[in-house]
Amino acid sequence: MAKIELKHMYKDYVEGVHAVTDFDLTIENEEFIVLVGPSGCGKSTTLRMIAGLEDISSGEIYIDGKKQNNLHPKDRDIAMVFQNYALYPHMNVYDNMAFGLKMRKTPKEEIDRRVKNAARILDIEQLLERKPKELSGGQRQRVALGRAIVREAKVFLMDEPLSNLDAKLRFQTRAEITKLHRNLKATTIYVTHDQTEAMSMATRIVVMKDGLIQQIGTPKEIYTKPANVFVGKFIGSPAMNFINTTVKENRIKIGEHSFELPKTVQEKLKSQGYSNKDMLLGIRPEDLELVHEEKKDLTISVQVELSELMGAETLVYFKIQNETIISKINSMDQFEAGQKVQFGINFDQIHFFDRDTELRVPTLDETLTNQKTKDKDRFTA
Amino acid sequence: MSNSMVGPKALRFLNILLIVLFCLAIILPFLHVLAISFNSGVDAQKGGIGFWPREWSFENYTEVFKQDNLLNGLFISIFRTVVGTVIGVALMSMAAYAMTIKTLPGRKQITFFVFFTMLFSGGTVPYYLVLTELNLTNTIWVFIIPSLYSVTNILLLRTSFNQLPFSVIEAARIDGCSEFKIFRSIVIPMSKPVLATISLFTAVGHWNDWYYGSFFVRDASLKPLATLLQEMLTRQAALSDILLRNSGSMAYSQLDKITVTSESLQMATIIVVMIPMVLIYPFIQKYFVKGITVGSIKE
Repeated sequence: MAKIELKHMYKDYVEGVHAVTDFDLTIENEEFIVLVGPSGCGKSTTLRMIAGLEDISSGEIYIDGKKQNNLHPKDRDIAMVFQNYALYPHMNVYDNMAFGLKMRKTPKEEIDRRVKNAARILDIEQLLERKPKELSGGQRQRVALGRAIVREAKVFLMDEPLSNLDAKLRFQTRAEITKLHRNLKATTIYVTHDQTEAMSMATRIVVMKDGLIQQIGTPKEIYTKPANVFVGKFIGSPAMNFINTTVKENRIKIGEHSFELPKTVQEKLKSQGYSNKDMLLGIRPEDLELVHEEKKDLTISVQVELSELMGAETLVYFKIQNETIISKINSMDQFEAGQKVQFGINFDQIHFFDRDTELRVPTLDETLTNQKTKDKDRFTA
Repeated sequence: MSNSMVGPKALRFLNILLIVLFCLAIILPFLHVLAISFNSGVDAQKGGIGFWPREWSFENYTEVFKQDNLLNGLFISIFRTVVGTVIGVALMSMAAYAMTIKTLPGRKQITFFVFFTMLFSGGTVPYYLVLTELNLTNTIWVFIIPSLYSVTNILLLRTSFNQLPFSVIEAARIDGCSEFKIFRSIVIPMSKPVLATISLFTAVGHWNDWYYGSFFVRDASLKPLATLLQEMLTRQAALSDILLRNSGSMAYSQLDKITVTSESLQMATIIVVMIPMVLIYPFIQKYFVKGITVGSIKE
């Protein structure tokens, strides 16, 4: 239950490697922040700097207004869950959970109460006498969570806690962590490379790449208004489709097809100097809608390369301008390779990106500055 | 049977064969030594004793235990083995753990300084002079203090500590442990196999060492068992030589009384010195197993 302020944090290694560059973020009380990005983007390093396990090259960390830079990890009032559980192998589950409290000289009765309470929450009461080697992967991860819960720390840090679990268990534990956060109300920072985890758990997501923050926003904002090409590609499964296009006389060209843009989009592009310019067009797979009839200037005709049934949905792969494009359709229809099909484009949801800077050009009813202000208002209200 | 099954089976057979041969290479000499130690020495000299005594005799052991100061020597040996091993392993493991801490100032230099001593030896005389200057010669501490460190053991321990899952140590740091508490409550319990090995090496080294007792102490009451037995063997070998040289002039009655030879005495000595170590082994053998960290982290 704490406000965390991370002010212009940098992590540079001696060899000139910049692991984290200018990480600036304020995390409000009770928020569930997810740091997401590919391997090596600096998300774990950032978490470790907050935990005090890694020195900060420059910048400041405040928890509830108190500077943490020079504090030992044990003095920061944080609890951490590690990717590989990091349980003490020679202690049973009870002692693993009680160890942190014993170190803090908590009275025995209080330790017992907290451990049993956490065990009840996590449904591991029957495992308290067992050693870690006698537990399954899922049970070990619960113990690791339990170890954090008993501490009743102000801040929870979680470093990819689900990545070692199988798909079914990951899904189940993900929901449990979300519920746990709702009940405990601890400010949580969660690191993952899995965008599904980020989307489903976070109150706000921080997308990172090469040590730099790419975008901060709610899952919906990140998905519907990606700040740049990287975020568009990284968030969403399958990833956003990108097609080189030219905006000319209020029309755009996609392959051999030409489409007129909606009036609002035309005006927004024009006002920002993007008429008669080469751009990158971003279309989410679900914004390519399968239609049965070809209509000039409204549909695009393509040859199916592959179709994958994903359950209630089907992914259809085809090529436009030699780029593989994926469409996600809400049906269980299957398509033959080489089959001709038509797609309509949901122009209200398309995204334009500057081809040089790869930044998104706001064409919807917002600008990036508005978005940041909204973020701030949401938590200060 | 498919060809793919032949390979693993043949390998298994070869493994078992090698292990059996290896065990025989250890057990057979031991049985031979045991048989000679319980055999009359003079009879043993005729040769032909395999793994069972031909002419039973406890004379070799009686001779070994006749030694003056034997009980005192046993006490010195037990003292230096227990105290030397406990303090030595504690200090070596602390030094090794410190060398694994990446933030330790001058870690590389310290490691090199320790390693450097492996390359050169000062020699016995300078070593003796140093011990004398430190007032260690002819005290019981000459068995303990100079043997408190072993570079090989420190490096072995350091390598082992480096292989411990670092996240467990970090978890302990977050849980509120000081570095010493991490060492005592996390690192030591997780390193039982290597500590058992190093303890055994150190204890055997202390128990078997006769060199320090021979050269660095003069007082007979400070001589450990191994030194006393070594001195006895030297005396017995000399006595046997004298007896053999003068056997022509000795009365038959006198010759008949001699049943102990330096070889038979040597064998009894080996058994006497070996027994305490053999008795200790089963108690620490359980730690010579892998897998102490099983379950700690996702491998």
